[in-house]
This record gives sequence, structure tokens and C-alpha cells, in this order.
Amino acid sequence: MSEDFFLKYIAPYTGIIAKLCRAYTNNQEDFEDYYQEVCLQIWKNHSNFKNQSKWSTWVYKITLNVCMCMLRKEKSTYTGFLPEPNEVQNTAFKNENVNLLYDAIKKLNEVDKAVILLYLEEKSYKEIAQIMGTNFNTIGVRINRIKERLKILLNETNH
Amino acid sequence: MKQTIEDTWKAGSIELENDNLPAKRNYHKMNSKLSIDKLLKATKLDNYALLVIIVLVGITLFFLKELIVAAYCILLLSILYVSNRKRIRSLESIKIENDNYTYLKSFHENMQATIRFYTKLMTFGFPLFVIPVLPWLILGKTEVLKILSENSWSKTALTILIVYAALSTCGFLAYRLSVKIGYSRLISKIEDNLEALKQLNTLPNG
Repeated sequence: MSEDFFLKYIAPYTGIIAKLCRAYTNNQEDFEDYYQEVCLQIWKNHSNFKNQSKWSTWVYKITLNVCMCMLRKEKSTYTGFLPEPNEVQNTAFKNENVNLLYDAIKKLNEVDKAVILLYLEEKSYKEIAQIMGTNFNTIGVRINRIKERLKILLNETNH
Repeated sequence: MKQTIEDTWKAGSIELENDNLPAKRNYHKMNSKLSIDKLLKATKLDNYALLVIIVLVGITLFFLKELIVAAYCILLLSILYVSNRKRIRSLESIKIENDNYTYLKSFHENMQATIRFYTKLMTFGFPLFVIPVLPWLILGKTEVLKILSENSWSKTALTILIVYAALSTCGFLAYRLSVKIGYSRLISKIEDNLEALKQLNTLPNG
């Protein structure tokens, strides 16, 4: 069951899940925990999927709900001799600009992070509002503000 | 030419396609790390244990011919069992496939309700269970009745009240401390997210 289910329902979305989990974590161990938990929750709850939305929307909802309710391990293992975890620079990508973008996104609060990630994944405002459970009319304004903030954060890093 | 945020994101997405993602796929053998799932599992386990305890306490005290104590213990444990079943139903009603706001709100409400329930249990229920049962079991019925008859009613009542207050305080503090250690970080994270989602809802258009 497990392998078949993975290949049919999860494999096409591993990229989406990985991108979101990377944005919410600061190290490989946390990333793997979040990623595995999302896959587990999709597997556990797939029978509740009612075809009322797209499967991808359903996957986004579960991924974000997991990311917003998981606790990162870093604080308990932080020794004080290393830089603060949110200051550790991302090196997951070969493209330096991508690493810098992820670092900037990580500095946003968790809700802004979710909004901009969904926007970058080319979700419509309506779909973003549906996933977040918020007002559709405010999404556009918020996205513009987040993009401005990201530009400032990226400029600060570049200088 | 300077890359836009969208272009950079796309470049990252292409790179991620070749990324080595965790290969573990035996999800049916995995345990969830989500607090709500852990809480649900622990509450279910508690209730199975309670059923066993009710039966064992009933049988043991019956053979010891302590029928009053048996009835009292079974009553208290049964109340706890029924309350726990309510908690399980409530925890099961939280659907992870709900939208973000609904999920976080129901998660938060359930956590708070669970904390309220166990605070009351540890503050009021725990001394209620300990005060009458323990002296009875440790000292024996005759010794307890002897102490009660030797002391005045007011002195006995005062002693019980002081012990109750002490146990109540200990129960309250111990539980609150365990909540602080176990859940405070998660609760404040969820509260922050709920607040941010509320702000997102009320953002002026323009």
C-alpha cells in the first residue's frame, strides 16, 4: 500500500511539500521531520478528501497546518557558541540567489511566509484565501507588502 | 538584468526537482510528531489504562471487603473515564485538512480546553481521590475510624481542609509547570499565528 500510495498521491507533490518545508525550517534534520510528517498526515487523512477542492489545494492545507504546528528542535540544542539559528545562512541550493531568497522568506512571520509561498507557487488570490481561511480581498494588498519587505531584506543582505 | 523574486523562486523550483528528498515511505509504521496527535494517543492510552484500573481496583477492594472505598474509587475513575472520552471526541474533531485559520483555531481551543480540564482535575479531583482513599488503604479502616473518633469534628475537618488545600496547590502547580515545559512554546506559536491571520483578515484594502 505505502509505496503505491506514495507514487500515486504524494510523489507528484514532493517538490511543493519540500519547498514549503524548507521555508519553515533551518536545518536538514528539521526539514526531514516536517517533510515526513506532512507525508504521514496526507497518508493518514487521504480518505477525508472529498473532491471539493483540488488535490494540490488539499496538500497545501495539510503542509501549512503541519508547518505551523510543528516545533523546531534548534532552540533546545542551541549552545550559545554558534550563531542564532535564524541567522544561519541557507546553503541548500547551488544558486546563491535562491538561498538568499529562502533566507529572506524565513525572516517573515509564519503567516506572511505562507502567503508569499502560495503566491510564488502561482496560486490565485481566491485559492490562497481558501487555503489560509482568510478574506480574499486582503490577499493582494498583503502580497505587495510582503514583496516590498522581501526586497528590503534582500537588499540588506546584498549590501 | 536584476532577477525578480518570482524568477529566483522558479530557479529554486527547478533545482529542487533534482533534490534528494527523504526516501522513507513506510508511513504506516511512523508515529506522528504533531502535539495534537500525541495528545490524542496519550488520552486514548490513558482511557484504556483507566478501564483496566477500574476493574483491578474493583476486584481488589471487593476481596478486601472494602466495598465503600471500592464504590468511591470506581465512581471517581468512571467520571474520569467519561470526561476523557469527551476529550478524545473533541480532539478527533480537529481536521488537519481544514483551512489554516480553522485548524489553528480548533487546535488552540482544544489545547486550552484540555489544559482547563486537567488543571481542574489536578486541583480538585486529585485531592478528592487522595484524601479519603490513601489513609484508608495505608492505615486501615479501624485506625482511620479510631483517629476520627479520638479527635473533635472541627479538628478533623480543619486537618482535612489543610491537607486538601496543600494537595490542591501541589496538583495545580505540578500540572501548570508541566504545561509550561511541554506546551507553552507551541501555544504561543499558535497564538501568534492566529493573531497574524486575524490581521490578514482585517487589512484595509488600499
